[in-house]
Amino acid sequence: MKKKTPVFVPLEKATFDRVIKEADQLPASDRRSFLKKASALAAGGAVAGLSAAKGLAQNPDNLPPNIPSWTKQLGSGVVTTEYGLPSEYESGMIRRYVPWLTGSREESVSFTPITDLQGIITPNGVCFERHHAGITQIVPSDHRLMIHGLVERPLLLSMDDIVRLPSRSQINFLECAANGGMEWRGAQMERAQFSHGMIMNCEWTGVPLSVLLDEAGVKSDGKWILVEGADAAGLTRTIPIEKADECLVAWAQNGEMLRPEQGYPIRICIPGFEGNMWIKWLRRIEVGDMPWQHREETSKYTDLMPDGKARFFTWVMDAKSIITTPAPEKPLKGGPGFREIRGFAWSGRGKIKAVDVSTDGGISWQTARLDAQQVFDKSMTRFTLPWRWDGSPTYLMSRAIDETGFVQPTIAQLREARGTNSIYHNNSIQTWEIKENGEVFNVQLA
Amino acid sequence: MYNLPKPSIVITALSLISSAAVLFCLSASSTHAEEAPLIGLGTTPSAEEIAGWDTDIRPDGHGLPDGEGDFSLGETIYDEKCSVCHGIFGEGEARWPKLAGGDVSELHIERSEKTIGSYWPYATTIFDYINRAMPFHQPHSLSNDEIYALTGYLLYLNDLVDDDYVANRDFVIAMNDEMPNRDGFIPDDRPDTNNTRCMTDCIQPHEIVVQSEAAVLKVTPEDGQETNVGNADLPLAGESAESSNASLVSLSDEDMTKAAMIYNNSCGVCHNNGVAGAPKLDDLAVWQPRIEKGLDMLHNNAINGVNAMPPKGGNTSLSDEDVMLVVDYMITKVTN
Repeated sequence: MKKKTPVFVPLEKATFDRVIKEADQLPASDRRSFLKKASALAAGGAVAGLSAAKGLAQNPDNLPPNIPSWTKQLGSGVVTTEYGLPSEYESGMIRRYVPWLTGSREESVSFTPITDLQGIITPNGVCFERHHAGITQIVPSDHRLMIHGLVERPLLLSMDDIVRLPSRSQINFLECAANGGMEWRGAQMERAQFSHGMIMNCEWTGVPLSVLLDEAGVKSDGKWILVEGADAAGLTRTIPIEKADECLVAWAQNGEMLRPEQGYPIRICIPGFEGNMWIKWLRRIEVGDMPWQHREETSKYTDLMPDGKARFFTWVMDAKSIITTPAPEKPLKGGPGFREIRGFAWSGRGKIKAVDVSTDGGISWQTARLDAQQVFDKSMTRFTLPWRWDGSPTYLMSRAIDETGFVQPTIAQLREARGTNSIYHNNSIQTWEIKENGEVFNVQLA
Repeated sequence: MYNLPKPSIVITALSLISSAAVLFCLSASSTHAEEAPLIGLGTTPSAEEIAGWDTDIRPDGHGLPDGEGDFSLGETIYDEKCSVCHGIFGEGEARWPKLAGGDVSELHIERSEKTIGSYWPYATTIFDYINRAMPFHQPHSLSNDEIYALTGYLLYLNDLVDDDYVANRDFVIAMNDEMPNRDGFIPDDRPDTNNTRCMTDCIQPHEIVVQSEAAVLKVTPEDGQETNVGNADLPLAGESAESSNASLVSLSDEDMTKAAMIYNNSCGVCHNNGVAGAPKLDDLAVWQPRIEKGLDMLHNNAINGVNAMPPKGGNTSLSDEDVMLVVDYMITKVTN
């Protein structure tokens, strides 16, 4: 697809049609004066549009002491867009995918533009997607959640029932276990979106899983929970019942009903656990006395070790961090001088306690500032560090420490423990190489 | 730990029902007796309703239905519905999963192959997965006999059974114990790294050595190529004007764009790479005899299936009109 370039033509056409229509309804004399004014307006718009088309080149006409063109004309009215959209100048903040990664787009993944995130909440429109059989389109009035198995009272709930139940909101990250999976054997993706973008951090609203289980009455031998999606892959995972208190059956994300690609009308949220378990389009919860050992917890989402054995039930996402400013897609522009290094840290085992940043390739580290009011359990946490770049080449790294005291490992430490066949759970420290011209590259240090 | 009952729920219940009932509920949930629900929303699903959805299979065989299938049925179904993506021998086409091969004794080797035979710990999972998700384009289209036959056939492709198998419930349960990697899994034993929080003089400058760089690989998709790489190219507005000139068919820009999207999503996986004999878009010689049979024949075959190609390429959600549009698109692409 061609990059969207702001141009005047579409605006002119729409505006012009409207102007002509309105003019047609006026008496001849008024029409002449109306059209004269309208064409003056359109000409002003054309100038602004052309300058925008030159790629945000500065137009001196809009700079002091001149009055900018937008200050001299009316803006559009309310409900110009019923569901609002970002500025056309921010059109680069989009999900992207890697065509060579998977067989088709229905069983593929797209990536969150993590370096465009300006706070801890990932906007719904850019949350990464991972589907196993495409985006399921569910008619909510025909959707049911079945709860059965080792329960006293099997339940069948409609969406009307579900949204009436006691609810809770919580902010949690959702990270795919394979985030960074393409980097196990070496630096590969020249874009943080692809190396770290299988993550989102959102406010989830729904009914606590424990409310549903209480309602059904779990029998004493009920130790495991199977969750199943209504998608064409019928995705399933087994959850240990000890985790139930933290889980939500969510119908909303960031203040609005789930998007179809995020599991509309309901999905399960399992804070701190790998994203594959957060079953979308949830239709069934079965309580059992043993794990189901389905495809997604045996063939996939198990971690092959150097001795040929594989770890299973590696649910927790360990502490991790990433510098998002600068990054390969956010180079240092404008030469030496002040920069704020920015990034995110998160842990599936609790809150982030600290983040350290190195601006010299790991020789020394400084503790970054956290947004103190925004440090939540199992949530992305934003960190910043003021930095004066002297213009010389260097290496930037960040290192997360969570409240258990766990320190994010280097890639060398991970490989020493797990080899390179693991695919999942690469939470290594990322190194960005800074070139003299401000370009940023993805490298791995020995 | 998860405990019953939850105090918060009891409070909710208080506002809804009489105090006598609350006492009743409290005693009910603490003894797990079959009593009235705490909140009372929803209905009780019938045994039939549960049975319709409760199709999951566990390693102990719980959930395996009646039925059986043999090699002959397994081979027929596999060749017809599975080999198009997974390969005639389970070797996997393009980026689709490899189902056979690999060696359990070589899992420690770099890029070792993880297949049903070399990696999957349970045969019950094969039945469960086919039943819930396969074939990719036609889930829930196979009978239990066919799924049993396929489960056996996949074990056969992995040299775990001979071609005289009769697959049924007992067979699949018994095969669990024959899976080569049955004991290949260990519980999560993280944390397994022990980084420390060194703040100064952590390494010497000469110890900073770049081991790998993404830049040399050049595999990162760039903006502007995203819809063009991998599957067939999505034509930009105006590009198709010349395409439609010399062809049997003439599509508007709008139709070309629409068709390209359908093609990329549902057809390109086979027709880009010639999977299972699918004619490729850049191979006019292969297309010529097909085109000579006429547009109606091509439309008809695409809608109803031909050779290894299932009806509508397996995407039965497409309308006949959409399928015909994509055929016209493919002819346009191949003849220009």
